[in-house]
Amino acid sequence: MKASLFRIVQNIGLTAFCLIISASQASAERAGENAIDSADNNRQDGLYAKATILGAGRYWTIVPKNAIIHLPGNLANRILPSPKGKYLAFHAFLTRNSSWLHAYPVSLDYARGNKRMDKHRFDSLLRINKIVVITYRKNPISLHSNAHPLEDDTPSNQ
Amino acid sequence: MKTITSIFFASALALNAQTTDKYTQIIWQTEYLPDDSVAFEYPMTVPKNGVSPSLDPVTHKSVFVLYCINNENNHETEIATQTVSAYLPEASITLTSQDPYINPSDGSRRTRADQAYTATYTVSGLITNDPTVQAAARMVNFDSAITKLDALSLAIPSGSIPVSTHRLIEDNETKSSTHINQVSALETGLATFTISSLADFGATSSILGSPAKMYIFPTTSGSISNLDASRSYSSVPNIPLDIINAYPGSDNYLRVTRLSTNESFDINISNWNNSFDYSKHNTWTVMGDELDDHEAFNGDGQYLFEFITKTPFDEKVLDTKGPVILRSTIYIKAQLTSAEK
Repeated sequence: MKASLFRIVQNIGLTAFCLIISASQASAERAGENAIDSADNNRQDGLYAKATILGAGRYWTIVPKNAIIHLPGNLANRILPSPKGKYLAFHAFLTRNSSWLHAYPVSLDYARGNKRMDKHRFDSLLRINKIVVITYRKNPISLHSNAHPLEDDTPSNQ
Repeated sequence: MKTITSIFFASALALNAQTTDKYTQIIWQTEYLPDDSVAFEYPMTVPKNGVSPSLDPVTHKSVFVLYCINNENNHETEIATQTVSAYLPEASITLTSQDPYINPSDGSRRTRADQAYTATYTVSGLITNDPTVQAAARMVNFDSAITKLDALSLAIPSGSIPVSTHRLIEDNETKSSTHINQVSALETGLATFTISSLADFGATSSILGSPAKMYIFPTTSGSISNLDASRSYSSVPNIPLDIINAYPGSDNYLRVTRLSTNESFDINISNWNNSFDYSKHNTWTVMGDELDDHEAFNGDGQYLFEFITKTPFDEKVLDTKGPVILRSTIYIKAQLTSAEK
């Protein structure tokens, strides 16, 4: 059954997770209100602690820390220490800021580091004067270090 | 199966979580490799329209954290955390009998109805330390079916109803069981063993590994005709040999024992190719001409005639005639008079 890639979610289970999310809709209202007083936005396991915050004008978004593969020096100010303005989902944020932000979509094999990126293509991304963010299904995703091309990579190695 | 899981997951999220004007919900997935290092991190914003992001099945383990951002002050709150792991049950079944033959086309084995064979299965990948996970992660189906076959074609007759057994395996283990007399001595049967996963979240049950098959052939019988014990023959009469349900690959002998010296001589009457073909009913007539010079018959005396079938299981005497007194040179000639498969 290896061939059929029998992979099903366990330990959930899914049902439990769905129930939790369902319940969370109502609790989110309460939690959001409580968060004004109680949230610790600097805790290490918090959302902002494990993300890089990108901002421009009145909007901001988040990407995983290892999702940015290229940050030109002149765009370093797009990285915010904390959120400022209104949150936008990454894709909407990208649409508004495509002049300085570029998305490079990959498959999960690359994100997991199971495949290594083409050096020629990777290097070309590093030459553009935009912040380059790895994406999967229009959402930012971190890129495993194993997916970075080797220094002496040739096309046959990819 | 992969797709079904994704759709299910996405649908569930669509129904149950969505962003509002005041709050934004973000699902942050952290997927781990088997060594517990991070494979990737993947935030998904739950949109206002309720069409939630589509998730891929987890390959090892992922932690999903649901965050809520207050759009007015950007405070974030962790709402829920859920660990989702993947399981990959694997199984194999091996059937063995004393007959080492393996059918090259499908790996099936063969045995005889009165002979025991062993079914050994190995199951791995089940979750055995958490009774709260769904059944499909904790157990697999173990099924066996005995079907009577048409003796000549080895096909399953239409309308045939197999005798089936089913149980659940809940441990990662290797175990053996012995089986015998699953069909009567005169019947041909097929024992099939399968291990399959349980249906899970819309994914259908599927067979793990390959089904294991054991063909069960009937026991053999045979007879020697036209030889009367204690009768004297001046020459060897024609000796018809009748064999029913010869085992595939068996060697079938006429064994002649000169009683005066207790010497035995095997005359190889027939054997079948080492395959699944077997003889349902064959008759031979043994004559002496071609054995004129055979050392078994170089003098007068008493002789014992035995019809023997030899298989990987045993050597069985199907019939015995004698002692037969031969007074002069004996002529034996083998001639196939009829053959039926």
